[in-house]
Amino acid sequence: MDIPRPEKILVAMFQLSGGTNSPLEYEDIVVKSWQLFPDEFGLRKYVHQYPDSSDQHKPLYGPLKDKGYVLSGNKKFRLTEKGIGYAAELERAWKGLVPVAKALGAVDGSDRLSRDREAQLKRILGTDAFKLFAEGQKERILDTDFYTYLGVTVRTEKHEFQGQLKTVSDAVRDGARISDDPRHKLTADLHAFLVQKFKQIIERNRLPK
Amino acid sequence: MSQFKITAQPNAFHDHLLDIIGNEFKFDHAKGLAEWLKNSSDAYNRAEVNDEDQFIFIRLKPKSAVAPARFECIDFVGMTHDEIETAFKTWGDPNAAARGKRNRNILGGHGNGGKFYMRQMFEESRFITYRDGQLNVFGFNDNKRYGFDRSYEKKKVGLERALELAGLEDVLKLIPRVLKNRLESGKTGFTIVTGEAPEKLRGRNTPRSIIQRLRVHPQARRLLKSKQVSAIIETQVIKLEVEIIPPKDGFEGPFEFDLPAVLTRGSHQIELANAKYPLGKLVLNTSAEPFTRLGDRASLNCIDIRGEIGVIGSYRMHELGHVKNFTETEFIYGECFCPILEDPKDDCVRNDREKLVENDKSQALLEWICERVNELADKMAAKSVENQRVEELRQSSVFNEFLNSWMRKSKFWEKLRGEIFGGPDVGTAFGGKGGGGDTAGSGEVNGGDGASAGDEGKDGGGAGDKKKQGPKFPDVRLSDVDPDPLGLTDTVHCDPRHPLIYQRGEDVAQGIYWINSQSPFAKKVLETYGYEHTRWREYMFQRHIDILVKQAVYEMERREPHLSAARIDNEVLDRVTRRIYEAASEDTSLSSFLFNENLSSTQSAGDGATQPVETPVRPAST
Repeated sequence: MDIPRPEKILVAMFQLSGGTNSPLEYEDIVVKSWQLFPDEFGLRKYVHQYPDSSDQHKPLYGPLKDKGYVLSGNKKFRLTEKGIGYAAELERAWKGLVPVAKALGAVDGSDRLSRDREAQLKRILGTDAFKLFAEGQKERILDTDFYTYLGVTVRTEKHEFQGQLKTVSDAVRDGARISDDPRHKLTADLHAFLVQKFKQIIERNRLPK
Repeated sequence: MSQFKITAQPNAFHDHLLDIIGNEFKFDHAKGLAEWLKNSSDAYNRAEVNDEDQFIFIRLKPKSAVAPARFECIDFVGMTHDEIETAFKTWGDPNAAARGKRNRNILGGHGNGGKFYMRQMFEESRFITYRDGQLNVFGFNDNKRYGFDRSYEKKKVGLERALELAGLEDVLKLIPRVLKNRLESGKTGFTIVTGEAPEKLRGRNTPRSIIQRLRVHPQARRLLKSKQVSAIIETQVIKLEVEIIPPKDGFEGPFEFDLPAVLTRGSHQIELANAKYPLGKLVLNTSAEPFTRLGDRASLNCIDIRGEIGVIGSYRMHELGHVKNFTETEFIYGECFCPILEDPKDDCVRNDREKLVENDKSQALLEWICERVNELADKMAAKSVENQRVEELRQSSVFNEFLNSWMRKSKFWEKLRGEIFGGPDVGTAFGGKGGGGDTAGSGEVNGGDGASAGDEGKDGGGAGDKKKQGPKFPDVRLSDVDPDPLGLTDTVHCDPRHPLIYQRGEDVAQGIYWINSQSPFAKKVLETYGYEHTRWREYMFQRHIDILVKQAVYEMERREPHLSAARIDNEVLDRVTRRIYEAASEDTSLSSFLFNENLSSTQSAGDGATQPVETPVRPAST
């Protein structure tokens, strides 16, 4: 089983940034991806001589950002905490240390809460939305509380909004599934409530198909 | 059992007992005329005449050189001699009004009100009644003793003569042909009750003011709604109708409350409904104007208590109990329907039907009503305070508009943006033309972001960030006051928990920001200093700065994804605040806005721009 194309870019970014969330320039990602995976990212007819700089745009701005692995701005990209965790597993798979299938499922199938998800849950427990919900005052939760709950603002760009929504959804789901902390079960109820209550905001930030 | 056996005899009373009871009525003429109206209405109802065909006239004749003042009530039913003997003459007969008929619309209670009004409030009084071709005249003489005029007892006369004796020729012109035909064919008759030389008719208690009070009298209002009642004062005929009271804005009502089946008062459980008497209801209404400003209509500022027989008591608001908001209760009126009050086992209905009999049941009911009135008044008071605040804010939005205008005219954001970010933006996308910011804006859209460079799939480029307009110059508005420029709602309502600066998703692209006028601190400033105070102006100014900072931070992040605290501190916070405070100290209009304590909000007629103006300082009074 081969690593999918977008994930290969994550591996390149992981190596470039040294496993951090430092900003990376697009051109560096292009070259690193080509160096690691020339057959995938080389210029047609000159696969081993030149990279093809047009291949990374769509995955970076599309699935990688929408799933919350990457943030972008002004021609620069950086891995999120979630992206770093995932890319580390992918790199291990690329090196043959773990099966690719396991690395690809690492994000969703683990029986342990990943560090980034723990961080998300910890952040959520400190939000007003959680406090109001836990105190039985869910009707007082405002739109701005919802944005804070997701870790975004009203100005957050749509791809990033969707990425963060997915990140939080995954963290909440895993928290309820894995953790013994009763607050994490409550967070799942809160999440369901918020997604229903603020469905118009989610709809407005939905990406065009 | 006693060894003695009493044989019952008819009661014997001294007439003085009538004085004692009659004085309890404490008549004013409006109340007395309402009693006569009810008697006429009962006469029509017994004859099963529809409401729209029940014509009743109240005729008030002023004193003349040859005759005393005279009050009259006229209906077109009439009584027989037998009815006078068996029903009218008896004092205190609870069945007198019904005369054996089971009619729920009969309003007469103890059969006393109209008679006592005749007896107590006039030097002489009588009624002339004509039915079945017979005329009877019955009344009270100047010694307040009643009886027939022997010359006109069971007197057979023609209709024309009867009308002449009663002085009804003119009134006949006011009734419809159908009724005249019934009168002429003998199918109906007439009664005219007359009181001569009325008492207490002096000063402001004129016939017109009496009629005005009659219109709003609780015992008369329901009749005026449905029957054809007119007043004749001298030669003027006035149709008496219940005035429609426009409700208070935002409290259109009616506000309906079901009475509880049981009320607790102290250790007593008080039953307000049972198998025989159904649950009652309280209905509260509001008036656009406080009743105290409405002259005679002030008496409407009450709760009427209604039973099956009509209004059985009426309470001004202060008579209900502890009223908390006097100002607001002046806008409230209502009616409470509570049939159990007429339960003979615990009858709460007084002879005069002004107030209920004082007992646990009536007191508990009044206390409960008072609580509902207080609840409504509290809501009105809160709304009133809020309205006042909104009005003040509306005026202060002129100041906010000044800041908007100043920022626009001085191109403050444009200059600041150039200073921080070094000129027009570079594109955020890839491929194609890229780079140069050739869409750098003009007008309000400042510094385009070069997003035209390499949109997805164009010019050989790949997928770029979506095309973005350059950040618009902030359009700052006051929440809960200023209109929504996007037209999605009237205005944007903020919650006190919302941030000081609020944006909806739709506002972002348009550069619209809302200063949260509901935030606790904003409220505090307004409550403490008022909307024209420099503190409030400075508060708004600070929020404009917040917005500039916010815009600058986002702009920076867009250009440089890895923001550092040092960059934000140096490039945004320090620079934005320094530049704007420099401007505030150098620019005369902005300085004046911030420092001049005698600035007031006003709207200039010129180019539509909004300008606060300096108000002259009042000279100290000597």
